[in-house]
Amino acid sequence: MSDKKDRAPFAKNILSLQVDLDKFTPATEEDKQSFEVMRPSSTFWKDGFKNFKKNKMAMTSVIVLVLIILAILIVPTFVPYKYSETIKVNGQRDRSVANLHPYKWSEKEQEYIDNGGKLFPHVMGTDQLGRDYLIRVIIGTRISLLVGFFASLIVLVIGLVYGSISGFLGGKVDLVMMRIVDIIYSLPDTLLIILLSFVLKETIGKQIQGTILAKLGTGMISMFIVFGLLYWVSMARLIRGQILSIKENEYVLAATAMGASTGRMIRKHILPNCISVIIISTALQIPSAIFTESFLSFLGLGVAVPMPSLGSLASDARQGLQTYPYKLIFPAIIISMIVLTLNLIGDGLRDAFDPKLRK
Amino acid sequence: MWQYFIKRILLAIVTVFVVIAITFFAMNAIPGGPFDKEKASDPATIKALTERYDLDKPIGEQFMIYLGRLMHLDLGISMRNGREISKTISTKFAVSARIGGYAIIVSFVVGIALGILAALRRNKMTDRIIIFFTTLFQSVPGFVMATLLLLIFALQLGWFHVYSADKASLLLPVVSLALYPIAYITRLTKSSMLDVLADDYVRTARSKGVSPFMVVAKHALRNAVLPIITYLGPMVAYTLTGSLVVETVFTMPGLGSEFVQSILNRDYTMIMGTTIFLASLMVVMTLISDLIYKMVDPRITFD
Repeated sequence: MSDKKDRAPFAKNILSLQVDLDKFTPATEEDKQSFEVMRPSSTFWKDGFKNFKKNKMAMTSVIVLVLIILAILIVPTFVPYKYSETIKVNGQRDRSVANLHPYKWSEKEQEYIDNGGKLFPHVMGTDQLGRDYLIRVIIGTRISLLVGFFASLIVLVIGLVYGSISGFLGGKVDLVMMRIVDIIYSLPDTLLIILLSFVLKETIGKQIQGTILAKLGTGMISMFIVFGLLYWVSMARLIRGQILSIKENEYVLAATAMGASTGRMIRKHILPNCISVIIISTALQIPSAIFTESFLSFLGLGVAVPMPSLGSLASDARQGLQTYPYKLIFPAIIISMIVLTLNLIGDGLRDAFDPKLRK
Repeated sequence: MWQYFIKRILLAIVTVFVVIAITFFAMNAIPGGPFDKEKASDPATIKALTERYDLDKPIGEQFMIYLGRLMHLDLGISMRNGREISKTISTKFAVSARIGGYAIIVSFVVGIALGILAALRRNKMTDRIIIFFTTLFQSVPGFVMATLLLLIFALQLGWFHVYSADKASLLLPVVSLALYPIAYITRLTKSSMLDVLADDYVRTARSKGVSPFMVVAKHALRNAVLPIITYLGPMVAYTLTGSLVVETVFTMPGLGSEFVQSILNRDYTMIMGTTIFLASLMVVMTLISDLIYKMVDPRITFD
């Protein structure tokens, strides 16, 4: 009962007048610190990279991949051989230089060294035409990585544009666009890639002669074309799905209510929210493109000679396999390492940035 | 459900038609007639051949004629050896189907077994070893793997004959064809098994005192295996394209190596016939595996 009596006057008087200021002292620094329960503010990217750094496998893969990339950039600057040229000793052709084992010299080279000359060792031996194998493997790695990268870029651009249009517009447009995707998705891509590479090789081969494109080879160009025609569908599906779910969010509604334009909506609200999905699936696309390239090279539809790629090197190595197994093993190891590291990095990115994607 | 079935079947038909159309028009886009390289190149012979194969008609009509022949399973004759393509395909495909069939069985059995093992021994040594090898096998291109196996087991160790036709020599092709799908199925089974093992009915079974073996065999596995059925379609597709590589590496007289040969020989009609045959097979297998999946698991709703 006394409770009520005590409280009664408070209700009638102004609260602040009742406070006895002497009872309060300023908080010390220690007191303030003990109230800091918040961790330092973190952005989406900071969070993701923190998670990514914890993933040992992914970090090791990044280091290995960086080493490979550094190697393909630096090694050609100090190796004095060319990927497309037969090795010459003192400006003379040398027949015995073909098919050397690693760190071996040909007769003329040996003679040259005995006379006090200095030569760069054939770290991986030479191929059947007497070209230094190390530089061919290095250039081949370059080509394979570039092919993988650009093919994924093509897939990304087409998939992104198609998927965002379809997802953003919705309705009948979406329905028609997705039926087209369904059909392309169920086409057997590997067979069509072989077919189209073959056909394009026959048809565009003459037209591009003499241009830079010819150096790359019709096989590669047709591979890019086929990637552009067929492989973008899963990317388009993924992005459309993302956009459909993002569109349901309140902040999109708010932006619409405030009169945001379509362009602004896509740039400011929709794309930033599906960027992680885009990065992850692009990263995982690269190894599959490298696989496809090596497969086409195996069938003789890949890069044009004398340009090497890891796939064509491994494929060429099948001749004389028993005598020169290292010719298969070097490109095989590098191709597997690249694909493995890219897969692990892709998985790591997925786990770090978008764990929901994990199946 | 019927609506879904009809929709899927229609999609498959459209897909096969698109494949036929792409193949036909792509092949026709290649410059030069098919008889340009013919030795007997007097104009009368070429004219007769052209008329024989209706090559003088407009392209739309040619396509209709080709479609009509396809309806009778007539794929025409090879430009290289003049044999009927449908006959070549049926004899050669027998070899491919044998390797492919073994590879599919092996990869499902081994893959599911390893997947269960990895799921049950999660984060232990067994799991890590399995996952390490599956990751590794998924990173080596098919033809490199086949060539490496050939190099190690046939050439260096001499355990197998490379060119003989006995049962043992099937082992290497089958293994090199199966390694990638094994890796894939293992990972699929593992993740699906882990999901199922965390489900309520598994916990209920355990708490009722069902033996751990029965819990896995009867309660968990049945449900965990369902998603793996959907891999049957892609698996057939993978096996067929893989057979191009494996048969060429091991020099087996299958449809795969025949296809590769026809590409090298520029045998247009053979390429067309094989592409259409393989593509239709893939589409049909994907359709079947999707339909089975839908039938065995009524919980699944497709939109």
